[in-house]
Amino acid sequence: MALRTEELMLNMGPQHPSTHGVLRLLITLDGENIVDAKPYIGYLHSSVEKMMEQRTYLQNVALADRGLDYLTALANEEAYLLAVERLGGIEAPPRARWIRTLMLELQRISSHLVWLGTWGNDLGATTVFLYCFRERERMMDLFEQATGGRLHYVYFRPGGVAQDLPAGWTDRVLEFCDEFPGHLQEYNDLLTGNPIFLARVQGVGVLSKDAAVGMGACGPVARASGVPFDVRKAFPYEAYGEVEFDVPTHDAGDCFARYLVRMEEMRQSVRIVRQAIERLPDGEVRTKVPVAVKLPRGEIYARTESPRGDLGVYLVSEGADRPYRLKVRAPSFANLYALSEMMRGWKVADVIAILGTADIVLSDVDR
Amino acid sequence: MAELAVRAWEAVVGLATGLRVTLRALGAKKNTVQYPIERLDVSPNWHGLLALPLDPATGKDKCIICFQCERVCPDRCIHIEAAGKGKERELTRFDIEMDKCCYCALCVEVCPTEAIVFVPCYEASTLDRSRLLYDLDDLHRADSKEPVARGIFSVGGRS
Repeated sequence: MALRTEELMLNMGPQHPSTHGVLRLLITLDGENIVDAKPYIGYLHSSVEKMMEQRTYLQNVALADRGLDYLTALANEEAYLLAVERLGGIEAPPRARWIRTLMLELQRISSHLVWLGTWGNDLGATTVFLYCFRERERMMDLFEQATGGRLHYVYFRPGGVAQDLPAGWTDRVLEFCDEFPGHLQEYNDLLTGNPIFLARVQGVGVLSKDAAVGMGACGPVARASGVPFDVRKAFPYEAYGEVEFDVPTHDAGDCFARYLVRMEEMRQSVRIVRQAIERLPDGEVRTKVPVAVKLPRGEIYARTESPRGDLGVYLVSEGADRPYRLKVRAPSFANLYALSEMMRGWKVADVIAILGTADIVLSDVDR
Repeated sequence: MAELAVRAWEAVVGLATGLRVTLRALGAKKNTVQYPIERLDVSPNWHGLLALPLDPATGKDKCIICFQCERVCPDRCIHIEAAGKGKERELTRFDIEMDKCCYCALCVEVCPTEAIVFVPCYEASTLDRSRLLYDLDDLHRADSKEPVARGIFSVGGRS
C-alpha cells in the first residue's frame, strides 16, 4: 500500500530575517522538497516612478538615490542621469566621467560586501558578516569624505559631479585597494575551504544557462550560469570603454558559482579603481547646467550595469522641466523572477542559501 | 576508504584555515568605538544638520531671501517668510522640518551667499517628534536640539 502524501503550503516572510526586507515567499512543499516557490511582492512599494514625475530633473537625483536599490545609490543615480544626459545632449567633462567610473566601482565593492556578509550570516558564518562590514565601514568613510553621505550620496549631477574629490582622497583609496585583496583572501579562507559551507552551497540551486536567459536573469546571477553578458562591455558608458577588466563567468550555475563570480567581480573592481585613479584627468568636474534644466521632447532608454545586474531607465520627456514618465527596469526584479526556477526541486533548508545568492533588494523590486 | 580520508583531511585543513583567520583577528586592532563615550569625527563634507549661522562681520543673517533653497528642496521641507521692503527686508520665518529633510545638500548648493550650511552634527534624534521642527533660533544656534545620548547616558564623569 502506497503512503498517501499531501502537499504543504509554507508561508515565509514578509518578516523573515533572511529575506533582507519584506519579501513573502509562498513555498509549496512535498515533504522536504520544494515543488514551487511563489514570491509575493509589494510590501515596500514607494511609487518612486510616480513621485519622479512631480519633481524636477535635479531633484530626482536625490529620489533615485533612495527610491531604488538603497545599497547602490550611486549606480541608481548613474542610470537615471545617463538617460537625462543622453536625451538632453548634456556632456559631462572627462574628469567627471572618470570620477563617476571610480565611484561606481567602489560602490560595486561595497554592495558585494554587504551581500557576502549577510549571505554568510544567513548560512551561519557570523564571522564573515563582521569582517565584511569592517571593510565596508572604511569604504563608507571614503564615500563620506568625497560626497558627504554614507549611504545616500546625491553626488552625481546632470553634467558632472557635485564637487571635486578632496585632496589626498585618491591616496586613501589606493591604500584601501592595496589592503583589500588581503581581506578578500580572508573571506576566502573562512568560507571556500569550509566543508560545512561547501555542503550547503555546492551544486545547490542550479540555474541552467537556458533558464537564465529565458527568465531574464541578469548580472552576476546570469554570469554564474554561463551567460557572458555585461553592460559595461556590451554598451560601454562613462569611461568603461577605456579601462581593462575581465567579466568573470562560471558554467555551474549553482550557489557556489554565484559566490565565486561575485568574489572575482570585487577583484576586477579593484583593478578598475586603480586604472581610474591612474588615468584621472585634470579639469572641470561639472558643466554649466541650469537648476531647472528642461529636456527636449523625446524618449530614451539607458542601461547600466549596477552591482545587481542590468539596471535600465526609460525616460519620456514632453519638453518640461520634469519627466513625463520614468520607468525603471530593476535588476532585482528580474532575478527574483528566476528565483522560483532556482528553488524548484531543492530542499526547504536550501531556500535561504538560494535566496541569498539571488542578491535581491526589496526596495529595488517594488520601487 | 581512501576517498573518505581525503575528504576528512580537506575538512580539517579548511576549518584550520578559517580558525587561523579568526585567531589573527584576536590580536589585531580594535574596530569598534564605545559610542556615547568615544565619538568619531565626521568629515568636513558631512551632510549633517542644517544651520543658518549669523554673519560674524555684521551680526545679521546672510540670507538674502531669494527662496532658491525652498524651491529646489525635493521634500519641500523649507518654509521661508519675509517682511519689509528693499533694504529693510528681513526674515520673519525660516523653518526646516528636519524629519522630512533627506540630507541631499541641494539647498546648500544653490544658496548664492552660503547662508545655509551643514554643521558636522549627527545626533539629530529626539524623543518628541515636534522637536524636529527647527525654527530661525535653532538654525542660528547651529546645533541639535536634543542630543539624546547625552540625556540618558553618563559614564565616568563624561556624558
